Amino acid sequence: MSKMLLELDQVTKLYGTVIGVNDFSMDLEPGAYGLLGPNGAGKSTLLNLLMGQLVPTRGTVKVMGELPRNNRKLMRQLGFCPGFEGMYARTNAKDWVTLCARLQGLSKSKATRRADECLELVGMANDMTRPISTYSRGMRQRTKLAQAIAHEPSFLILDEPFSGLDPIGRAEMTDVLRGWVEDGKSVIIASHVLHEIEALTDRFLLICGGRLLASGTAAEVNELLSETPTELSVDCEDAYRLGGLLVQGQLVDSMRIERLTHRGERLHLQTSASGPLMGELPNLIHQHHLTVYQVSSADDSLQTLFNSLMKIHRGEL
Amino acid sequence: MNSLLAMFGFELKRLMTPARFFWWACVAAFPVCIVLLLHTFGDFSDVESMRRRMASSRQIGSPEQAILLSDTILTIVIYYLAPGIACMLGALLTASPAVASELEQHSWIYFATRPNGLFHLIVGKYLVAFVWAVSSTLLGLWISIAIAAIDNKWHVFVTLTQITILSAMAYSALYMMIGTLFYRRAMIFCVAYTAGVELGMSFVPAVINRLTIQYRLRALLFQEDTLPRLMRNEDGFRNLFISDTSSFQTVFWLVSLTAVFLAVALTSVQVREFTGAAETEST
Repeated sequence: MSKMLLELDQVTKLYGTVIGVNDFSMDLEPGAYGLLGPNGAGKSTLLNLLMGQLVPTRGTVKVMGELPRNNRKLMRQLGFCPGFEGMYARTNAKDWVTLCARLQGLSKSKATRRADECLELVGMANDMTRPISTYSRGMRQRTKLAQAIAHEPSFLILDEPFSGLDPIGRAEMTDVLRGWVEDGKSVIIASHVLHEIEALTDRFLLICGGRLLASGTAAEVNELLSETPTELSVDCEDAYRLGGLLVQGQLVDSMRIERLTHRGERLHLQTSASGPLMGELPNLIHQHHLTVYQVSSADDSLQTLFNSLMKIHRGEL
Repeated sequence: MNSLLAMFGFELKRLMTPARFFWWACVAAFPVCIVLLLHTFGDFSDVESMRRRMASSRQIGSPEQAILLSDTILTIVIYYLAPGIACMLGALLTASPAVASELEQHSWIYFATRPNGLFHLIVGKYLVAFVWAVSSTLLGLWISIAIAAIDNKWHVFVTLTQITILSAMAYSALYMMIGTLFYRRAMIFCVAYTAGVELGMSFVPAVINRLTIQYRLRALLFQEDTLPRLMRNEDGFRNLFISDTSSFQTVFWLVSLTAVFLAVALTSVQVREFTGAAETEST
């Protein structure tokens, strides 16, 4: 077995003339990763390539050193939670998870025991004998996770696992997955909601239009963005005067003023020189006796990175 | 084997619904109802009447010949009703939508991502289709034989039971293959194939009819020497019903066809990509 978790070499997947994944190359070591991207970015196509359900039109995909297509040995080590439901409505969670575990080669008794354990782990112990048709969306998500982990895989691939969960359900699901990550097992979680991923891992892959925009930790991607404009918001009393001073000092690239309903105005700034701006802004405020209520930047959030990378990708920056 | 048994048991349990049981009962009842009508309104049990009609058609008919002819005609009727049509219908209803139903409700991926998952899915569903078709047909067959005015019931019972088992085996595999190859319009293709090949081509008095399951099943029926000599010597009957091959070779043909159908279905699911763009981008 290769030490690499994933090895993708110039992978392209076409659906006729539609590109699902476009010239995708990356090598990932074992660990936990968030796969981020808007709807239609190619996340599910990528996951299906990893699971061997799709064959790349060009390039090669290796998972744990193996080609995934029709690979029995590899499938025993993978757990997959698809984005759609697809479970039989009339059956119950216990029967379903037991079947999935038996299809992984577990004996009937062991599969039944693992189904009980996993359904309890995901908080379905009291409902596992009811038909799936009576479950809420969140309960179905938990059942899907249980079938993915029932055979104790070493690598878990989850497609939108938090979709449809209420806040309590999200917290419980996060705890389960955090435990999985802390056990040193590998996981890839596809999502278009960033804070769901942030709670589990700081390593992520950002894709859009079937292309890999960035990968690494938030700090590593921040480095990539050092030359790109930063966004800043300043809530103050005289935004026009402050804006004028900043333009005069050549500290901003663009700005926009928004009148706030309760007090003052909000100055939205975009700058390529965030360091000089941050150094000069307190001086300008002090020297000109300006009243400033709040200065905010979302630089530490993945959302900012995501927005900036998306703008670069679209050619807006 | 554990995985296959799990799949088979699970699929069988899924079939145990009132709606499915209703159709199972309909398939079983079909030959019984027709035979009941014949028994009630026909004159197959009236040997003297049969003898008179044979004599009037210039065939010298003794009472023994009349009984033999009556038995033969009823056997042929039950053959067409039970292993011929009911079994075919039962297999069609169960096997043909096997792949399409999994793809439509997106459960396919759960099987496709297991070791040999698609093999277990296809073979498990095939076995369920076989059990479903054979059980309903045998029930209908046995009741039909019991109520029919056949002199040698045991011989007909043994012969038609064997043919029913072979029929369910071959037709389940055939419809599983068609349902896999043409999963988007599985039922339409299965019905078209049945009408064109199994019910049409199998009656063409030429070598081409030997490629059909119906011809092989008919050959098995008439290899049992139930056909009177007068009919046996007719050229038309010889082409349609009587095979030069032995019973063993005919069974071998049916088993081989079943193996080929299943192999094509299994190869198809291994080679093709069933996860479409619309499905994959559903998030």
